Amino acid sequence: MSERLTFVHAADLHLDAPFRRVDAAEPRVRDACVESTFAAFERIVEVCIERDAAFLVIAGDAYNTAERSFRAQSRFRAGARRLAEAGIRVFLAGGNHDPASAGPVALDMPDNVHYFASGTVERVAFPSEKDPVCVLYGRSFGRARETANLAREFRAAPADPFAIGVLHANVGGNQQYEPYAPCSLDDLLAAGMDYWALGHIHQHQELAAEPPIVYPGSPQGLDPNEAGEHGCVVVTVGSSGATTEFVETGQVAWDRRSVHLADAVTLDDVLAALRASCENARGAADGRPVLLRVDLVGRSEAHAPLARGATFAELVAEVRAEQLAIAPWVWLDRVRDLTKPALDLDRVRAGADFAADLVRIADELTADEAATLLDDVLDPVRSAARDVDLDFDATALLERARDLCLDRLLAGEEGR
Amino acid sequence: MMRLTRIEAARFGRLHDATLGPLGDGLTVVLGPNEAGKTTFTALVRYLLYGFPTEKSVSERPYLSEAGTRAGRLVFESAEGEWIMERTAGPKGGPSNVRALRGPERPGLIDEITSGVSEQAFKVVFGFGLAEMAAIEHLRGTDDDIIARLYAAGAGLRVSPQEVRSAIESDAEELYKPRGSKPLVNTLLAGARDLRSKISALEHDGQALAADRARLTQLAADLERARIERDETAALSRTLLEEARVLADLEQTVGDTEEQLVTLRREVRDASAALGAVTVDDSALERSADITSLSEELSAFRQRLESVAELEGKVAALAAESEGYLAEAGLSAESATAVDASPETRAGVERWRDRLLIAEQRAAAAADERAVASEEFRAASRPDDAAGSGTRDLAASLKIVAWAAVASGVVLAALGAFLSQWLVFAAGIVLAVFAGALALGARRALVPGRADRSKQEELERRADQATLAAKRTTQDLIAARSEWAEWLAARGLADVSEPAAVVRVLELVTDARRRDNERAQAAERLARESGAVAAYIAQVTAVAGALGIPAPTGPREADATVVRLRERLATARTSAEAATRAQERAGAAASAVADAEARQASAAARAQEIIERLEVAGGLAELSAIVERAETAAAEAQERWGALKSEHASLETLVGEREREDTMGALRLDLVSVNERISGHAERYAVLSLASRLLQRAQERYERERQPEVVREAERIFSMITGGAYERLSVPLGASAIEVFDASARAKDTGRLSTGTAEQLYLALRLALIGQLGETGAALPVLMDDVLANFDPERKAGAAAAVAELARTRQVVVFTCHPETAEVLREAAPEIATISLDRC
Repeated sequence: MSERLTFVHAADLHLDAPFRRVDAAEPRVRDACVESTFAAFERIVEVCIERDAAFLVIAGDAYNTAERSFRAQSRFRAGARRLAEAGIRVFLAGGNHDPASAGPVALDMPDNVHYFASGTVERVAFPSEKDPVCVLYGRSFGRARETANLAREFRAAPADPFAIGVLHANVGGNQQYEPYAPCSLDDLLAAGMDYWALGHIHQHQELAAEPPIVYPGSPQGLDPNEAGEHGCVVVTVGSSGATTEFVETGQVAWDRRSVHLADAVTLDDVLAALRASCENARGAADGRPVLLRVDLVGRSEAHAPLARGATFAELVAEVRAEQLAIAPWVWLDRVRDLTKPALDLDRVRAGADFAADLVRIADELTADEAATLLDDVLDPVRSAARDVDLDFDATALLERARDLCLDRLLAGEEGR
Repeated sequence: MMRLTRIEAARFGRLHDATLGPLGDGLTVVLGPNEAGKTTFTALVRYLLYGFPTEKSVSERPYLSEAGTRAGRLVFESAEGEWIMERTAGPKGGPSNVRALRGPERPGLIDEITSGVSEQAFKVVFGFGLAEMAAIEHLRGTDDDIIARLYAAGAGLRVSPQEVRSAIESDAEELYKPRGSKPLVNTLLAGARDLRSKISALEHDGQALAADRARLTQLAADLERARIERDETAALSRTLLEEARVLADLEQTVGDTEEQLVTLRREVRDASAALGAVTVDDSALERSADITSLSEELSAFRQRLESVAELEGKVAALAAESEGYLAEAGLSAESATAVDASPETRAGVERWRDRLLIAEQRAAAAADERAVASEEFRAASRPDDAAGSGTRDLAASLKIVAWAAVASGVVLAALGAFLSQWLVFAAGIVLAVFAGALALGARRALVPGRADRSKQEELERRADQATLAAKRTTQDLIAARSEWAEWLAARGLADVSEPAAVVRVLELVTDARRRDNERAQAAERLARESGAVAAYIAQVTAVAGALGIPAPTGPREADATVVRLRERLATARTSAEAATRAQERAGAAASAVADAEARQASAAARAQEIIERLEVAGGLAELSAIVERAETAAAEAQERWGALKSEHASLETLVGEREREDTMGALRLDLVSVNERISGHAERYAVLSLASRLLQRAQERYERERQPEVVREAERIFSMITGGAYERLSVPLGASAIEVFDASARAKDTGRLSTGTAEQLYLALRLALIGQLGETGAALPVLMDDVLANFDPERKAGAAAAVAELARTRQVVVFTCHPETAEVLREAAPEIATISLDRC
């Protein structure tokens, strides 16, 4: 084709989906998190308008049908209306979070919104069948747990000026995501598409360059494991093929850092290190607010004062309040004190006293025994908190328990 | 080594100024009957060291004194000196004071002595009676767990593992208790349940919202139907109302028109009467155009009269001027008429003047030349006048003829040219050329052979030529003047000959003619104006005659007549207008009557049509009733629509707000946050719990593999007291009971031991512990209040031996009311000091 065409490819909006694994106790932080998926979608709408896109492709999971959020649908409809006013169409394929089996959305969508069929691969010529500039092939999930290889059903026609495949799928069996609509790269290449607009993986990935096979990633990271850039892809199609440009849309950044306190002696040293970590996170977020997780690590002289009474909690509260007052804010979602006492463990282990016995007992526990011991300890909590993630690394916790004992035993009265 | 030497009770319980002492360095037995104050002295030592309990204390016996404020003293002695420590009951245990009786002051003596030994530990280990014997076991798990302290001492730790474990478990319990409600995790779990409940309610609300949306859709349809009904009923109501209004209007129109007709008909009559009263001057009106025309032309007529007088003067003046010019030219009016004074004539005069002047000049010049030539020839021919005269005469004659012919040709040519007769001109030229050639030939014949002859001939020839030329020019002049005269005569100018005079005559004739022309023009205009004046007067005369007005006798009278005519016409017009107005009024009234009658008929017909169409035979009254019913129906429809609209709007607003609200999102995130906090605290709880388990395992191993020295010492002492009946002790850390093993290795916990055996075990534990304390509490005396009372003689002897053994390293004071006990102790420790107390 010779005519220039620009479209925007997004996926996994998860509008109104709750964040996971975050302690957003502060109302301001909570509100920002709640609003972030909507704001990210609105940024995509702005990108479409700014780039004079012909259409927006959303490759699944526009919103979580399970939540049945009218607000999500309402906000999506508002964005679609803005696009309609700009003459921009919207093509959606349902994913595992918004499959056809969940029923249609409750709110009427404007005419520029098109949902791909779920029973078969649907072909839509753009802008019209009579004079197409490109052809979109899309298929929505019929049910959430779609295990069939849907990619094999896609086949571009030789006469298509430019063929775009739209699908929510797990390509290559990514273990970090549910294995829905599994397929291989070869399956996608065999379809003869000129561009594959994929969804499901929340990190931006370009699986192939010719033709482009792209996961745009989610526009907003939803949990601590979704740090990094999140956005959409602007695709420009010209006579020489398609070129892609990733555009950041995330509204709240996730970050996770380890602060080494080997050189820290006093609590002031710990405060300084924690503040520096916050500043580094703020600097890396490019003007966005940050949800930051910090682990204080290392064998440190500061371990003892940190472990004393409520010191650690007070220290974290101080930095948390302080960082929240700076714009853009950094929210210390979680700070763990994983520091170790500044003692020679081998020397303790070699002794013949109570501490040596304790270290050896910890050493002697196998991973399974540690897990069993942990289960024994935690099962009452688990039974009371079934929807809380209480899967911890038993070995790591055992080490922390051992160090805690040594702290208290060897620190004497100060440790009490 | 610091030793307590004396206990003084100033005011304490039953004791009043009582002193116990001096006490021995090793074992002292205080023997006294019941109520002698043994237990009181034991308590006094503790209170003096750690402070008095309040007077209302229930946990400690206050030992109030009837003598006044409780007070007492302890006297300590060492190699360095002697000090007295005093305390009086008061707030916070009461003030204390240390004075040196001998040696240096030691104000911190109390702290030195009690360092490392809490009051509870003193009560249990150092100053105890039968009541406190079991406390060593019962206090386990508390901060004053004596056995834990034994382990700590034996394990080389500054704190006991049990204390650490207790603290850790306490921390863990602050985080979570399986059936608790206050720990953090429990609180958070309750919060999470609350949040889930709210979310569930909101989800229920979401379902309700879906139902509301369905209801909203239904309402929209109902609203549309209600709107249609409302519009239809309203439209019907409006239509009927309009029909009623039209019918009312029509009936009103019929009535009103009837009233109008009466008025209009009266108007017709009045107008007709007014018309009859008006007389119109028709003759003047018929001549109105003429009169108007005469009036309009009156001003022109007046100007024209002035113009006639002016033109008459002008004609006379111009005639006089013309006659003057002709008289100057000497011409009569008739002769002047014949003169051609055209521009061509004037140009011809000019040409003639030039021609005559040239002819005259040529004739004069030729005459002069002939005179000169004749003179020169006469001068030259005088010497040889006769030679060759014959030939020359012939030649000369020929030559003369030839030259004459030349001259004739030239004249002919000139005449042809003058008259524009080109054939004559050509003949003249040919003649001149031929004659010229002939003359030249004759001249050759006349040429003498000699030079002088030639010259003479030449001069002769010149004279001849000059003569000929003079003759010819003269003739030319005569001919010209003759022609000039003819030319003038042909133009009526015979009486003048000089061109200049001719020119003047022509100018005068021209001026006279111009004046004649002007006069003729003026006369013509005069005639026209006079005619017009006459015509106007004739018109005036005619119109006046038609109207019976006398004819004007002259122009001035005509002017007055026209003024009269104009006034009469004005009067006639006024009358006519009045008549017209009356007529129009009558016509309009008649037309209005007709219109009103038609309107009335139309209104009646339309009213009838409405009555028939709406089938309201009762007319407007019936129709009004129908309208009223329709309006009621429309109002009801409007009300129904309004109610639906209001419900729809409210529901739409509600649904919109609920769609926009973010409570659900916030609650979900709150739940995530709470869960995350639960996770964090649970992780901490897990660490603490694992730490507790590790400590427990370490304690078990330590207990199993590294029984502390102090426990082994207790084991030895217990075996010694029991005479080997019990060989081994197990003091598991954290367990609730102490176990003993008999010679058959059978385990018994303290609950299964006899009172005496259990007390022996507790005593053994105390003795072993104190023995292991080293410098801790080294200056504190061990005060035993009849603790051997329940021992049988054999075990009492064993116990006495164990006490005596301790007394070798520590100061021990044994209170007893049993002489045999004192005796057994004395046997075990011969150096024993004995103090007897009397009953208080």
